[in-house]
Amino acid sequence: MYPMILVVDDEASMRKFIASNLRVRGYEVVTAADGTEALTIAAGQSLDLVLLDICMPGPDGMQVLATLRRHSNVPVVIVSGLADKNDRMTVLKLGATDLLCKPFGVDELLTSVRAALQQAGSVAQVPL
Amino acid sequence: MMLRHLKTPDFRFEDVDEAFDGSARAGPSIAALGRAITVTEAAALTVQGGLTIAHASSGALAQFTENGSELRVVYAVGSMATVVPAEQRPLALSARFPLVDAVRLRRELWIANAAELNQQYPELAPEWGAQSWAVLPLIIDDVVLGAVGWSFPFSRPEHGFSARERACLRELVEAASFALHRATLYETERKARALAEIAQCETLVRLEAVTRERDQIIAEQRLWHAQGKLVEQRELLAQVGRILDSTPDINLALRRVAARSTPLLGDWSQLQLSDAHNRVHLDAKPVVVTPLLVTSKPRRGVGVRALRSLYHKGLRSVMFVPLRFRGRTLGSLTIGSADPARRYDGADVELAIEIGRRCAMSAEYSRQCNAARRAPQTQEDFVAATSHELRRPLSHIKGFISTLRTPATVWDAKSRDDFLAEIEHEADRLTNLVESLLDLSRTDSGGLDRENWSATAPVALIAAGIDRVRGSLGEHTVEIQVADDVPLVWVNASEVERVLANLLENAAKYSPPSAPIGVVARSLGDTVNLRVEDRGLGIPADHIERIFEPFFREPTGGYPAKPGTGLGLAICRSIIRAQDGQIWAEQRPGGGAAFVFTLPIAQAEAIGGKCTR
Repeated sequence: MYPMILVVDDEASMRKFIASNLRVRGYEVVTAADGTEALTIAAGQSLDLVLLDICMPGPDGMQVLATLRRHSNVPVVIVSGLADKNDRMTVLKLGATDLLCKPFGVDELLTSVRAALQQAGSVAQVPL
Repeated sequence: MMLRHLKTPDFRFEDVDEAFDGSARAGPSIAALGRAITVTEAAALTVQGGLTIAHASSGALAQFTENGSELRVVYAVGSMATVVPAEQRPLALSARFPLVDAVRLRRELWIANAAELNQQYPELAPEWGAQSWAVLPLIIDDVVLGAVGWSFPFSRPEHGFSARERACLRELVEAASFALHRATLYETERKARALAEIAQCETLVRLEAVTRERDQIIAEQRLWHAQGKLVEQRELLAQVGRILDSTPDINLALRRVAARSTPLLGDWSQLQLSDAHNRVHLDAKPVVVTPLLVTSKPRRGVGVRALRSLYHKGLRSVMFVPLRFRGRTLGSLTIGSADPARRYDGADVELAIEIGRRCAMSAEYSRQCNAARRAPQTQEDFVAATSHELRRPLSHIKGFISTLRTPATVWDAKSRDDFLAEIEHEADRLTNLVESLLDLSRTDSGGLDRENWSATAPVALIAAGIDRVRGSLGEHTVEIQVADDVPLVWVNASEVERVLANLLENAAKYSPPSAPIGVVARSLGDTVNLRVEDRGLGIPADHIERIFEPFFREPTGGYPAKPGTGLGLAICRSIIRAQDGQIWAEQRPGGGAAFVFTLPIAQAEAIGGKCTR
């Protein structure tokens, strides 16, 4: 059984980039284009990891993270275009596992995903 | 936990642990006391705290009255006949009761049973159900504020109250003293503030009465002496100057000027700066409607609705004077008289123009000050937003390139083409963004080419604007309404066409497919208003100002649309401002959004030179 990852980003090409790279390595991926869709998916199925964009129309990443945290302890990696040292502290305090700053490449993406899954002691098999 | 309380004569080491435990029980009550802000609230929390912590059956708290000669019971629960008899409130300090003694002697009284009470207060009989009593003074900084006492429904063994009970009641009383002291200070301050406000109101009322009296005298003078009027006018102008200098809030200053000018010129006046809501759009010339009848015809710049509404205010004679500064009209001064015999003459209009000129100067100055103050912050925000927007396509490009370059993965041809297409698309987006940024910086710095200005017919601008975006309008139709009397405008035509094209594209993007888009040109005062209307969802009221900010994007509300750069409207605003116009958004009556901008009418001498039809 491979880990199930939810990718939340309002931009289609960002979703495509992340999802293609995860799928090709064996991860199961579901995607959501906004916060509301993400929360609906999270409520309906069990997830091993959430990759969450901060800047989205409607409920933003911070609000989604806060809502998720009230119901589950699924690891969340925040994907952000706002690269500021203070932001890392802020999202970690809010209960995120890690912060990925845009722009990032495949290596950074995979490293962060694996680390988050291992840290959470995911029962699913983590592909290399 | 305060250990000093334990250094009383009955101190025993074995009591220390018990005392710690006891004071912990007082915790929640003490925390609540920390949040109390009124005296009554603090007193109630203290008395109730004793009932909860030490299982007392009743309790009362008394505080010194304001003059400090008596004790007043602030809060009591149950019958407290023994420590404070009901018939003796407020209590004189000479009375022989435990509560008064605690205050006078600054001493805690722990009365363990009825026998002890009888020994200390032979004249007091225990109230029904009470068998032991504790009374503690409320002291802060060596000043006694009052005392609190509790009755307990059970008697005590020989050594009386346990160390635990004493410790927790002492903790509670210490917290209560703090809370009462603080609440008393708050209340004193609140009272002082209320008194000050009342005094201020009284002063204002008196001031108004004096002003009214003065204005009365001025009015009488005006009737009696024609010469006196000149003096008054000069004084009024001097006062207008002083009022305008007195406050940085231009709208407040204009209201005051209007109020001050009214008695000399009529019964009602209003000063308004030009904006989307102002119904009076004047050119350089004042408009006098005297007498004002319900049938009065609209004049240039003054609509029939404005006239009607003034008539219904009871006015029978009005004049509208433009606020002119450096050849531009910034707003209007409207003055009206309810007296049917009053006719505005040249002298009245002259005075009003003079007032208007001063106000216009002040308004322009205030606008420039505000703009200067806002600039650095806006600049900083703009740089932050720009770098964020640039990073967005860059992050996609980097993502897909690293995807293709990862050696461990082999992508099929279709995926590779797809990724390459994404990279190209994002590179195009980046190019668009950079070009738009350059455009914005060019128009913002006033770099529009003055050479290319000409007198142009609005209908020609509209046609060219539509031509530019014909490809992206899809199934939308454009309905054009241009009245026959719309004059030529003095503009840089290709820039205005860009604005129209941008607004049309937005209208298509934010409305259902095939919904018609309206374009209306109308002449108003010394400007022509161009209006682009869509039938989409409209703009939320709190976004109506913000949509012109760079990178502010309104969600398309589900209509399929390509995301833009977020700079379109910012560029439009910058272009229109560079041509001495204004642009704003409003709700379209009947649903949807309307974008309106003004363009200056071409003057006759200019038309002779260059003309585009």
